[in-house]
Amino acid sequence: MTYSAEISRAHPGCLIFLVDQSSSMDDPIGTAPGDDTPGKALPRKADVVADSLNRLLFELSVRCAKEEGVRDYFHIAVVGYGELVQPALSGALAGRELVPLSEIVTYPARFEARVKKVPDGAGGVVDRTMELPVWVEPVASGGTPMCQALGYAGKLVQGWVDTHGDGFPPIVLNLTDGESTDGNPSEAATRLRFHVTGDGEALLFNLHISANRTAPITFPGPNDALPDKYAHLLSTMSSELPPGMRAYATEQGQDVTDGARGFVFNADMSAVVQFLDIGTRAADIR
Amino acid sequence: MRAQVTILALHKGGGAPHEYEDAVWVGSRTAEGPERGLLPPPGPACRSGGVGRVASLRAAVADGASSSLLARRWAQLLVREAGGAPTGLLRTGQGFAEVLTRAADRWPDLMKDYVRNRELRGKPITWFERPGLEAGAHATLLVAHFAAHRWAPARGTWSAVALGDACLFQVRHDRLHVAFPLTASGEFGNTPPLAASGGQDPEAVRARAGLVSGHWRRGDRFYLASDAMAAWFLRQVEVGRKPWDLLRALDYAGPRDLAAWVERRRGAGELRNDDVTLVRIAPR
Repeated sequence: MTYSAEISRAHPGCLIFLVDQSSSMDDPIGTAPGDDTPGKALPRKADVVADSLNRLLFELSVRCAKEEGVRDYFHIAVVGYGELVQPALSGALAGRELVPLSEIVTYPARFEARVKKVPDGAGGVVDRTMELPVWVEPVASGGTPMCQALGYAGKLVQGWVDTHGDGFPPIVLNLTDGESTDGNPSEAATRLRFHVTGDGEALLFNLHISANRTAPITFPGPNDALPDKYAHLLSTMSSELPPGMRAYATEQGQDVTDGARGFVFNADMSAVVQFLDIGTRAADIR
Repeated sequence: MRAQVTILALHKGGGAPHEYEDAVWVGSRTAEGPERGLLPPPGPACRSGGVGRVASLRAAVADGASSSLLARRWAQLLVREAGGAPTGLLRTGQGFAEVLTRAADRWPDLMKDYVRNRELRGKPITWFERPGLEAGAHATLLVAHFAAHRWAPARGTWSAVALGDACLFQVRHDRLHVAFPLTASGEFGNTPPLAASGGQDPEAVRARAGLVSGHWRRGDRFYLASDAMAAWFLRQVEVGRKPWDLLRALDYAGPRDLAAWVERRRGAGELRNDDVTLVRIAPR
């Protein structure tokens, strides 16, 4: 259980994103006290999650780009759960489960113009409009069938470890805003983490998105207090962060102790982005 | 001076030869003809040959950071620039910073040519390449310079400068005499100091670059290696082995022999799966 297997084209990594698409994702996201701008409308949780995932897929594509192509260091699945539990990539990749990164970069559903601040070369910043790819659209409808979603991910994980027994184990990142509506998800989470490769058991990280004005709790240690039973449930469902991710989190300025869980509670926008960034930093890419 | 020079280079396991991202330059800045400088093409390389009657000999090894989009091109530009730099610049941190700045000054034109060539070939830069091009490339660099004694035969001086974890080893009387800039296998990490194609603060280079100098005499052997091979070399010494003896098996190796030798060590967990570059210089 070392979580040190290299990630290469011969031994790619597997990332599975579970996205809560229940109707409450239509509500605005919360902000930590003091972080909000009075009068400014907050984005919907569904929009924040879709934006963060699209941004992560963009950054993975850039990180794995080499001359004239992207290397298939990762295979990626995005599974939505709400009215239905189903693959959530849009466009030409609709209905696909695990997709190699080279196909992800070839088939964005569409491009969207975004204004980004970039250095002007003279110490200041200027606005620049960039066309950014979109693969995941925001959806908010139905309940929160988390047990089914974890079962769906479990099947993908099983298929992966059966064919990649020596590689870095699959990483499942679950992004949700509410309690499961189809039973206690802890059993499905445990079953998912039973799947192992020679390098470690499958990793399950959970992120809870908040509509409240509450400071997020990020990567709690074993002795950190959690606010309620629900937070405790999601925390115990989450794997410990492997050493490589802990080191990366520390580099990013996070206070991460030994035994810290891959779990964020009451996430605001920046915590969502940080969770995705740290939770997908597997072993060295070769 | 004369020297016997061997260059060994191999790409990462599971990759293609053109994906090799180290670079090597060996030659004599002041020589004419083929001895002016040798930059082996990317891919498995096993070059061995004699260098004769030159006043000095220089070798440079650069290791392009895997996270950079055009790491190999930057590594090649660095070793070429270091190979042609006035010797005085390689003897101080400030001079070395100047060498890196000269290379960085040439990078924008090289990028313009690259982008133009891609367009001419009908393969323009894509959205996922653009951020990497804007971020530039990074690499470690090690440069060693050997000079003959003015009048005494078969002896002379050497100096080296390094930014990052490519290493030089001097072996004398069957013992490791000098290891530079790292001296133990545990010192290798994931974030060595790097030369950036976007340029860098000369003060920072001065603070982070290592400098060393010494004397050589006939029978000494020098090894310049990028990080994976350098870490292997030091680990062998630490467990009481003589890596220079183990490397003798590669004296007359072809690319296949080299690949098999490296693969055995990678398979045994002795050698990290990374580009392998080793230059052996036996001055006389």
